[in-house]
Amino acid sequence: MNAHLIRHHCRTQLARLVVIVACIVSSLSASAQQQQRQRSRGQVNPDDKTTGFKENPRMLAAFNEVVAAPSRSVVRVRCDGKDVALGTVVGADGWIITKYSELTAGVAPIVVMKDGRTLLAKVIGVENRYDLAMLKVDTKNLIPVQWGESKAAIVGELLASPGVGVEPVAVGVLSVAARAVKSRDLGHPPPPANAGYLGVGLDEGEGGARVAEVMVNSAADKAGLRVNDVVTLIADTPIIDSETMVNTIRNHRPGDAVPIKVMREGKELDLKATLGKRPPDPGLLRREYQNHLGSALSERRTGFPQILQHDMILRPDNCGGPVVDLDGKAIGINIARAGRVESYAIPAEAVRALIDDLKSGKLTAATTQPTSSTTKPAPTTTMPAK
Amino acid sequence: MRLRLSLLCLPLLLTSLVWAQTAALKPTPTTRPVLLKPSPDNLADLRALQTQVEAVVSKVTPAVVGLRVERGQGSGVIISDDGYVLTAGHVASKPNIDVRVVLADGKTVRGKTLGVNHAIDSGLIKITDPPPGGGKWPFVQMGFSGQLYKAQWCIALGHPGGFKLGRSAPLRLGRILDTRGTFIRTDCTLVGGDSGGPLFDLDGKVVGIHSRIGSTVNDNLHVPVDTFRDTWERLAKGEEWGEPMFRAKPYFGIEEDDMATNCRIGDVFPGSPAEKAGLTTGDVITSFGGQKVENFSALVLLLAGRKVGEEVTVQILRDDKPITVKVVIAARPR
Repeated sequence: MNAHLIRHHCRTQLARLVVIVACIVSSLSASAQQQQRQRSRGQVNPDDKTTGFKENPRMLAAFNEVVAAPSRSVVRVRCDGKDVALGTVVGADGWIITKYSELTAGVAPIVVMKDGRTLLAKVIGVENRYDLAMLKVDTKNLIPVQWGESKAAIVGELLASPGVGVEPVAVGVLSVAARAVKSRDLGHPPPPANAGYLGVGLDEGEGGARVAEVMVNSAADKAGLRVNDVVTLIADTPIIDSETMVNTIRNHRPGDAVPIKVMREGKELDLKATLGKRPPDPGLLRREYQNHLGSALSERRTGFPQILQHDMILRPDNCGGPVVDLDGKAIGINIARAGRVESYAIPAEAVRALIDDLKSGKLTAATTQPTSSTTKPAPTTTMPAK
Repeated sequence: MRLRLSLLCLPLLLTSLVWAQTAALKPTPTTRPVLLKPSPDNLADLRALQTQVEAVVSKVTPAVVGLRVERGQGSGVIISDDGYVLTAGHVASKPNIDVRVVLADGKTVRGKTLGVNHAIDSGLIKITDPPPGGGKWPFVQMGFSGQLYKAQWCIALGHPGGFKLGRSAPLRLGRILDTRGTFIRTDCTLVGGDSGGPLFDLDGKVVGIHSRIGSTVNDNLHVPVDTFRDTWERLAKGEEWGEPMFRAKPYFGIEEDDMATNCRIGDVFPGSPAEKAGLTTGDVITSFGGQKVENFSALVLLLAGRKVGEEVTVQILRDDKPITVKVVIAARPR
C-alpha cells in the first residue's frame, strides 16, 4: 500500500478491516513452493501447457539469440563461496557494476568470468540509493555491455536477463516504462510510526490538495474538514498538491494541533486539527505474504530513485546483470525482485550517469549511506495495497 | 441464451470509430500463425509477439481503472462508452454503494456498484459522473472466455498495490494454463490491488477479471468474462447473490482511543462482540487470548489470527482494576 492509500486507510476500527485482496486458495507455504519451483526448473516439459511460459525450456531457448552477445558482458559475483549476484561489465579494463546490498560486508567479492577465470574484485564505489557497487578486477580486454535507451523502451517490449550461460536467467515483458519513483509510490518505506495522522483521502485540487474523503471520527472529521475542501496551508507550509500535504502531515506528531487553511465554495476558512495516530495496518502482513507467494524477493527492494518495472521472475542472486531488449541492448541493470508481480531495473541512463563517479571512488558506502552507518541493506518494507 | 444475445448489445453498440480500432488490434496474417504456435521458435517470432502485445497494451490501457470502494482498493475495466465497469465481486462488495473510479490519467470520477455475484466473484459498477466534454468513456470490448484454449497468449493489467500516480497499470504477459466455466488460470502474476482488473486476449478483448491467487506464480485465477454476459441483467439491476468464496473476517467491534499509547477503547460498536461482553469506552485491554496486548496494533494482529465463532479470554483494566471477560469473535458485518 502506498502512502496515498495509507491516507485512505481506515481509522482504526476493527469493524472496518476491509481488505480487498486476492484470496489465498492454497495453504502451501511460499518457501516450500519456491523450493519446489526451483527444483522443478529445467524439468518442465516443453509441451506442458499447465506451467508458465517463463519456465518453459523451449520459450527460454527462443531467447538464446537475444542474449548471445550481452551474456559475454555478464559475470557471476560470489562472496564467501556463495553466488550472490550477477555483474555487468561496463569497462574493458576490469570495471563491473553489480547490486551492492547483495555483497557480504567486509568480504572481497570474487568474480567468475564466462571463460571460467576466477578473479578477486575490489569494491571501488558504492551508490546506496540505487544500490549499485562498482567492482574492479585486474584484467583487460573485457567486453563492455552495449547500452540501449530505457527512454525509448515501451510497455509490452519483450525483455531478457542474460546470465553467464547460453539461456537467459529470466524472460518477460516491460510492465511500466522507466519512471522516477515518488515518495508516495511503491518502493519507499512507510511513514514513521510516530507520524501524525489526519484521516483524509486526497486528490489534486486547484491551488492545493482537494479532500476526496474524510474518515469517520478522524482528526480531519473532528476538525470539520469536508469533502471538496481544498487545503492550501498547514501550519506554515503552503500546500501545493497532495504530496506536499502528505509530507507535511507526516512531519507532525500525534497530538499536535495544526492550523489548516482551506478553500470551501470560494471562501477561505481556518480550521484546527489535533492529529491522531496512524491506524495499524493489518493488511500489511497479508500483502507481504501475498508478495512473497511463489518467488523469493530481494532483501533490498525499495528506495531506488528511478526504476523500470518488468514481470520477469528474477531470482534475487541474479540481480546486478543487465536487462536487454530483443536487440540485445541493455536498457537497465536488474536491481530487485520486488514483489510477486514485479522486478525492478535501474534505467540505463541513470546507471551510465553514475559510472564515472563510481569509478573515481568519489561515491563510497560512507558518502552515500543516507541514514545508517552500517553496511546493512536499507529497510525492505514493501507497501502494496489491499 | 437469447437473453445473452440481447445483452451483448451493450458492448456491440459501438461507433464505427471503435470498430476501426478493434480491427487494428487484429494480428496481421503474418503474426496470427506465430501467436498460434505453442511457443516462439526464434527472434522473428518474438518480434511478432512483441509487436502484437505492444499494440494491444496501448489500445486497452485507457480503459483500465483503479477502484476505491469503502476502505478497499481494487481494479476494473470500462466496457461501454456510457461507463459500465467490470470488476471482481469482492471489490464491488455489495450493490448500491459509492465508488471512486480512478481513470488511467489519475482523474477520479464517481460511480455506484450494481450487481454482485459472490459465488463466482463478479461485480458490476456504473460510472455516474458524465464523461468530460459530453464525450464517451474509453472502453474495451468483451471477448468470449468460452473460446479460450490452453497456451493461448494473454495479458493482465490492473493496479497492484492500488492506483499510483505516475505509474501506468503494470503489464503482465502470460498464457492460459487452464480454462473452465468458473475460472481461468494463467501465469500472468497477480497480487492484492489487481482484483477486478482485466485479462485480455491478444485481440485486445477482455476475457477475464482478476480474482484470486495461489501459492505459485502460475496460480493466478480470473473470473471468465462469459459469466458477466450470462448474468448481465441481474448485475445491471443491482442484484446480489451467491455465497461469498472469501472467508468472513474476524470482528471484535471496538475503536481505539486515538490519544492513548496503550490499548484503551475509544468506542464500542452496537451489537458487537465487545459490547456483548460488556466492554465500554475507557477500558484498557491488556491481554487477548492469553497474549499480552501493549497497544491497539498488537490487538489487531492478534484478532486477525482468530476465527469467527471462537471464544477468547480478554483481560482489561477498568478504573485500574483488572477484569476478565470472554468474547465470542463474530464475522465482520458486510
